[in-house]
Amino acid sequence: MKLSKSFWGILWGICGLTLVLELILPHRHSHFAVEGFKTIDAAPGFFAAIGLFGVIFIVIISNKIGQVLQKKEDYYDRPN
Amino acid sequence: MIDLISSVPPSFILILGALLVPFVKGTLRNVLVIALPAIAFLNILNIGCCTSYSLQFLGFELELLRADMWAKVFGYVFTIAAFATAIYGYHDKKASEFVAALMYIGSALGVVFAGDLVSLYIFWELMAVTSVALILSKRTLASRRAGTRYIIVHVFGGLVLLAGIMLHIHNTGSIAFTSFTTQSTAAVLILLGFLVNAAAYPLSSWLPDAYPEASAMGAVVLSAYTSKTAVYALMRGFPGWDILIIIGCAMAIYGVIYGLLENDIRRILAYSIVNQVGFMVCAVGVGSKLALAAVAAHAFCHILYKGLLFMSAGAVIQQTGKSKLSQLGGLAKSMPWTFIFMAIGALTIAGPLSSGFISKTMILKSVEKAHLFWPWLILEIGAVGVFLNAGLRLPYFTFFGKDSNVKAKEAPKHMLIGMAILAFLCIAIGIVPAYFYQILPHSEYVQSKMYSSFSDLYVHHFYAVLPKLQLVLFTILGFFLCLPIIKRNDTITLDTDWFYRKGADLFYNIVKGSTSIVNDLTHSVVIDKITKNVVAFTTNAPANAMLAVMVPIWKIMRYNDNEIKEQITNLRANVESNSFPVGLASLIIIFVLLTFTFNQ
Repeated sequence: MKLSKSFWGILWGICGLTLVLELILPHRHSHFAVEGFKTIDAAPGFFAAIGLFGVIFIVIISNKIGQVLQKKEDYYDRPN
Repeated sequence: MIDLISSVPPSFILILGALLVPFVKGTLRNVLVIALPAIAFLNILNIGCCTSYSLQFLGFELELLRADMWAKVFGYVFTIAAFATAIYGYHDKKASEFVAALMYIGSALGVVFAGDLVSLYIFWELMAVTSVALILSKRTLASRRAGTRYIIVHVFGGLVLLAGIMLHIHNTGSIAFTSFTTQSTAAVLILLGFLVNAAAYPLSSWLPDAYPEASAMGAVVLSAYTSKTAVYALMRGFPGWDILIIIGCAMAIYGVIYGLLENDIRRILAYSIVNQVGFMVCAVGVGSKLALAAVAAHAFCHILYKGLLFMSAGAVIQQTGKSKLSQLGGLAKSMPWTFIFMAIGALTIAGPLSSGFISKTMILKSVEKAHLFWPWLILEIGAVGVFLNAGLRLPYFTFFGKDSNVKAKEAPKHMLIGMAILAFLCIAIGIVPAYFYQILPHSEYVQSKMYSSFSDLYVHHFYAVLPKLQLVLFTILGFFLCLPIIKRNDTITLDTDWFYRKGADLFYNIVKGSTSIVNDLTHSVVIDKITKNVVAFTTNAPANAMLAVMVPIWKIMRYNDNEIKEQITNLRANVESNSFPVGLASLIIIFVLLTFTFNQ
């Protein structure tokens, strides 16, 4: 199924809106540290990045694993 | 009446009630199956915290009704899910399936309300037996094979648990089921037994292997109980054990990666159970007050939305006869209500205004408060993954995507009602969590830490919801961007069950190969040489003895060499066929006797 241009427009639009809202609303504080790498959870757009790059990361990793571990459906029914 | 039913353990109501099911027929049977969980629910609602019910067994005092907040919250959700499932399975005509399901749910309640290790173990094993009966009641070759593998794993887990319990009783002299504080051998064995049922990686593959082979109703029932009773047992027995944080994180990631490679729609959901149980196991490992309350909360909500997803997947399979993503697609027009309910279940996994949002936030908050950065990050990625897989990929390829031209009618009404009950609860808890917080353990503490009114949650603290909203929206964006490389092949993925499915053959061949050297040697020496010689000796002995006598006689009678050879051949043939003339035999005997006589 081909996704329409308006669908993409709305999706990007809402995603962009949440990023803008985040800058306007009160700032979050890190739950893990006062300074250094572990304050990253307070960075604006951090959760957006987790969502977007998390998907890409998981899809790529699982495709790589699948190249090794995916077998035909009758794998267990065939003799060795 | 209520007083009467409040004085017995809820497990008895379902287990004894199940025994009545074969004796009633038709609509009455369905009414009974729907009524029993409802009665059990009322029973749990009315049990006071101090009610107890004990039995004497082998010199132990068994406590069958430890009805505190921990047990009751699991009891509520177990009976609610059973009630909705009984309506969903109204079409089912097999009494055996209802009996197995009710006894299975009853024994799960038995585990949850057990106050001691002995009765816990008895119900634990009853649960294994009745759940395999539920898998087998589909009566197909695939379900029989999966059921066999399932029971082998659970018998193994049960034996480990039994060993641990016996060792524990031997060491401490107490059968009480309280939390384990020392890492003794007994405690570790009990932990292992629990982890098998919790489908902890790498002991997890039995779950996606077996559940999708059950019937539509069977899979809904199975999805709720075994892994959640194990979560309950871990929560009571092993709060704060650090190893559980690592195991939980491994489960969260494993469930996502394998789920994404899967093609069977209920197997995708089975992998997402492993992922979600991973969240609970991790929170048990954190072990704080909030974390343990979050475990109970997430188990509650997870049973509701995973039951809903299994129900809608079962409805799709029943109406289309197909269970593979690669064969489905474009069903939104023909099964709109099923689609709506699956969408509610899917959004409940992560989206705001749903029960999953409430309970998952509690778990992540407890991990945050314990300052566990890396586990927290892994769980966030696990949450993205499970929403991607069970929340987007599954509904998209089933109801949209390429049109499969599968002809299907909307699911029957009773199935839709079953789904509607769970869908309603999923949303209600998300919108007004205040009532839900009240039934949780440490409820006052939870209410002081979490926002409980709608306006507090979603309006006044919108800035706190926004990141979660971003997570969901960008996961959706990522899904559609990655759509061309998200797979749905006609394949299966090798999991740890390979070790006992293919590995068993391999092991057999290795053992055969290594022992066959000895075997072959023994064969060649004992069978081929020694035995053969003994046999040849004993069969030829009579003929040889006779020849020893006869050949000299023939020589005396002046036979030539050729005639002697001919006589020898004749004699051997006669001995083998036992057919000498009587005269010849008697002649030989007389000759032998004479020789003996003269020699003396």
